[in-house]
Amino acid sequence: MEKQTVKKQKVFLSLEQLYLSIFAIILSLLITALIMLVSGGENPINAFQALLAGALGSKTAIATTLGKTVPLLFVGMACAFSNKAGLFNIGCEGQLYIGALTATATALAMQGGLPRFLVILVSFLTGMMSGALVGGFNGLLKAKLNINEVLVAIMLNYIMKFFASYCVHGPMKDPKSKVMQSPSIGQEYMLTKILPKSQLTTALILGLILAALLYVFINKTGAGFALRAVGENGSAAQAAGISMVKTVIITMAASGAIAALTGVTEVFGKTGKFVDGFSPGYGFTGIAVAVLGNNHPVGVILSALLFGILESGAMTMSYVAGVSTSMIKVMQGLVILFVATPELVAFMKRRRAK
Amino acid sequence: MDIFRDIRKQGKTIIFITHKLNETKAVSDSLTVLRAGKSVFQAATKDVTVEMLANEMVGHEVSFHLERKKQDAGETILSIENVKLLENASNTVSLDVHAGGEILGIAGVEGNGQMQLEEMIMGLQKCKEGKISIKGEDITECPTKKRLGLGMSYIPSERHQRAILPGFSILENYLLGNQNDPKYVQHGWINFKTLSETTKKLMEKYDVRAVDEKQSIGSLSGGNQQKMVLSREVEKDSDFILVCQPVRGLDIGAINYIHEILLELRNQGKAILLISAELTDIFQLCDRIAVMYKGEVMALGKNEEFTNESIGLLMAGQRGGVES
Repeated sequence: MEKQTVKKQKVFLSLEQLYLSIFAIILSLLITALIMLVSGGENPINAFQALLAGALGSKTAIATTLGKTVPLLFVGMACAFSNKAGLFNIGCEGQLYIGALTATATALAMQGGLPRFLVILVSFLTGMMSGALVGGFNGLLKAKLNINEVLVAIMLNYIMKFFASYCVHGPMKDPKSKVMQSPSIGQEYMLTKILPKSQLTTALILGLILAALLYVFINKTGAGFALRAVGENGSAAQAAGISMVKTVIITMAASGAIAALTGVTEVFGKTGKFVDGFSPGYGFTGIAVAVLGNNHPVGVILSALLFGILESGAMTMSYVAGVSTSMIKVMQGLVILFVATPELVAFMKRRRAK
Repeated sequence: MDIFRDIRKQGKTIIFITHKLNETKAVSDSLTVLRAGKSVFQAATKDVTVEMLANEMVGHEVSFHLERKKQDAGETILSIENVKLLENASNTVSLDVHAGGEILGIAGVEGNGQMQLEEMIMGLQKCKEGKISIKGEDITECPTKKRLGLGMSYIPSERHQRAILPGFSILENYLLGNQNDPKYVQHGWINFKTLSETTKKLMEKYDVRAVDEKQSIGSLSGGNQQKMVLSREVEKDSDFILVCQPVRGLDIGAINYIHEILLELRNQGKAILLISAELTDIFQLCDRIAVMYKGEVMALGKNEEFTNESIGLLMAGQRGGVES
């Protein structure tokens, strides 16, 4: 009898989060439907059908959906990675901007007949490095001076975003364009498209490979174990000889590098140039993607896909069912709210217990 | 206890559930022993001894008098020189623990500088004044990782905070502290096979009750958790072991088992520093005893030189309790 109960408990613990995420999604669907009915008299079934058709109804649609999933996949993984160590990387927004800027600048500097592979590789690496420096700096301040990483990250977000903006208003601006953007890096240096004439590129493959690598690193290596130990119980990790300072700095740096790839893949996969303000708040949606996916690579992939579907099907839902695209934002917000609530409740219980 | 007696005088009936044998003897009229869900023994309290109760609770003979073989003190393994434990302590602390099999016990009511001592030895708290050395090497400024690498094992007083990763499996908790050991991690990769084999072997040897090694350690009883922590630290085969409040909250069976293991380690020639508020630990296990009060050592001497009364006085801050 005891054996059975314990086994159930074990399995339930790993599935519990899955149930929670699914429940959050269903609940937010229902409430969104309710809002649609009450506010506009729209038929929610039509709306959701249109949403799905718009997102997955054709090869082009699927490609678009996946194209929108890609940035969320990278930024979701960045947040999930730091979350595993109990750290909160809210600096993804700034890191993706500086990553995109640095990679663009690198590619522009490497024009002149260099091999495609080399240009892409070096640009990606410099982009990741810039994200790592920003993230690592945040980590350093937290580890050595115990400064709250959220505050620093928010400030750095502004600094990075507006520095990049300054660059494409001035020194890096494309002289031939009226829009605030950099010159194009050149078609030949962009990532290969998986489906022609779509925004789906090999960035997706890169993202999936990265997810697999992160899974292996986190769960199968000694360093990954140290990271998780710090996230589970920092005091015990310390007593076991794990360096908190090293772990915090390296984890935040790595998270920053992954977040930077979000911006890099936008430039090298979609636009071919750095466009001022190109991010619709990926850095913050990434946090939601990570939490919904329970910080697990598979969860993050599925979660990013869900958000991608919502983004992608919004237009069609608007045309066909007459529901405003803002309803998508409502739904996203509700999902985040429902997924975060149990953790918030647990947190408050712990606070009260102290 | 007096409250219980008062309530009894009023004619009320009390059912008192405890694993503290002395309390049972002190206040109950009749008792019953529960083991594995069955009532295995009933008697009037005056007819039983503590030894009988212990045997019934555990199911087999529990030895209260463990053997401490005579050992010759060897070289100094751990040296604490003029370390200031608490801000307002007027004196510093100097202690040595020797190789060749010695248990030095720090007796004292918790909160008298033991936590500071524990953390300073392991590098979890900065030692601002004084010097700490292991095997002659100054480790006062060294990070915890280096100290562990020099041959130190550590059983923390705060098990839940310092010794385990509550949400992780027993298997992964076994890796905690061993994550740099080439036995379990080769070229950065965790060798789950060796880890699993060792964990299972030790779970059996130390009788850690769980479904399997994948069960979360947080769901184990305190006694089983502590046995797991102990097995992990003992397996490292270090020359020096820091053991803090090892039996806090444990039942008589677990307490006795841990005592046996610690004495066995001592007999094998290890150097052990035991910090405990339990006098049974101190008198059963230690060769030498230091009594701590408000961050200072009130007295330091051989086990035989102290009595329950003298040590009690010293723990309460009254000097002159050592019989030379």
